[in-house]
Amino acid sequence: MEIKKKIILTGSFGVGKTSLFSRFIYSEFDEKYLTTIGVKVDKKTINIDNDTNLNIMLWDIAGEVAQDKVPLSYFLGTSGIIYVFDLTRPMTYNNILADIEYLKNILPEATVKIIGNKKDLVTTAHIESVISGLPVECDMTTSAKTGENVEQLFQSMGEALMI
Amino acid sequence: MSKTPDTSDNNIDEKLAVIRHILLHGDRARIEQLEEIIQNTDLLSEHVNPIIDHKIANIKDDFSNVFGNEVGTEFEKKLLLSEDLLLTVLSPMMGKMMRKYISKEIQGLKDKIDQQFKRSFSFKRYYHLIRAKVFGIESSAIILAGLEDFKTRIQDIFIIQRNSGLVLGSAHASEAELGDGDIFSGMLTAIKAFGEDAFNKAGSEKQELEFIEYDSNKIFLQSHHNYFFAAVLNGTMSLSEKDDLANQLMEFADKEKKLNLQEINGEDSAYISDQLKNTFFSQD
Ligand SMILES: Nc1nc2c(ncn2[C@@H]2O[C@H](COP(=O)(O)OP(=O)(O)O)[C@@H](O)[C@H]2O)c(=O)[nH]1
Ligand SMILES: [Mg+2]
Repeated sequence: MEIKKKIILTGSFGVGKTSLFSRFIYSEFDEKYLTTIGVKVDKKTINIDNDTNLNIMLWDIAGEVAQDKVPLSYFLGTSGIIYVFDLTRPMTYNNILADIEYLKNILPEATVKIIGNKKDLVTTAHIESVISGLPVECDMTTSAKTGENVEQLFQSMGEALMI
Repeated sequence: MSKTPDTSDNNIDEKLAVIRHILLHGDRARIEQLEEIIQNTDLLSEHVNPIIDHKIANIKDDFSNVFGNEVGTEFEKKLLLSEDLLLTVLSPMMGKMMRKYISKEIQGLKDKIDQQFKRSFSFKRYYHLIRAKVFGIESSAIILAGLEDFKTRIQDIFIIQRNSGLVLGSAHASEAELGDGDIFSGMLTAIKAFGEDAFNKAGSEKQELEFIEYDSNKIFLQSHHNYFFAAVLNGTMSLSEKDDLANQLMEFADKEKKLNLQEINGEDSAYISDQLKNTFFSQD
């Protein structure tokens, strides 16, 4: 069985969305449109079980574009949201509660995963203190640099979408 | 990002500028000039009359070559004597086409106008029109005859779910696809959303994009409630070809109720793709 779902990567500039995306996906789309329209769409097939494949269509919002200028319709029709923050920069998670509420408001049905990225740059103790201070639950910590937990992130998102 | 979308004038202008650039490559001035010509009857006839004259001269000179095998000599003689007949057949068509240029057909304006004229007034179309008039053939039959022309230039047709950009069905002229159809459709959805967002924020009436250019291809879009069609065309198409295609897609949408399902599974999608293939890419 073949199933398709749209997933969107969001979060502040520079947190590592595109890096996570390209760790996960290798194909390229004509670059000339990307800077203009501010989003890149790519695909990855996840094997859920022996006879089920999930095709994830992943939308990566371009870093240079402020999130509040992203056309609302980029978010619509999305089954899963990956919200990424940077474990090394409080600026990227100070607003996390409002951001998540905003997203849940637009997409009440969507599965949301909250991800702390760049874990290779910080100690375990630092990670724990950041996460325990958050007003929302962090689902996973990743490193796009070392690849730690990247496959797991998309796999767990895929499985969550199948329920 | 929790803020409401920025609707300041600056932002709108910026976006409009960008989208104009994509769609028009800065051809605004040319469009305005054209609009002026089109709205002014004198200016218009100054431009159009020479073309009509030229074409009539061509038909006269070349009539036997073009129509010789198709048309009996009796008819040929009659038609050559009757310049009036030609004019009555041609003039309404001119008027109709000009009106279409000024109605939201921004994309059409972008193409080199001279080329457009040449293509739209090809002998083939004259032939259909003349036949229609003289032999009394139904106009729908004529449209079908003309349809073959653009059918061969449709490379792919996608049916894409609104917002999610997921492919509900697709069919292709050749098995060598243009890459990954899912990615293509996702990007197309984003480009469409971006363009419409820019236009609609500017406060004008709600608009949906009709054409997008991508590499050397032109993509014709037709929006429905839950989905839209995207037909990838090689080269350009005349306005009447565009109308023909639009009608065909409408008919397809009317016929295939499955397209309105909220969730489409692999089986439905395969069925829809098959129907698309039969309708637009059948060999006979
Ligand atoms: N050390 C480290 N650097 C990262 C990681 N992820 C991203 N970066 C770097 O952070 C910068 C911004 O990454 P990018 O993916 O463009 O962020 P985006 O704006 O969210 O798309 C780049 O210089 C990346 O190389 C990570 O996990 N570890
Ligand atoms: Mg980025």
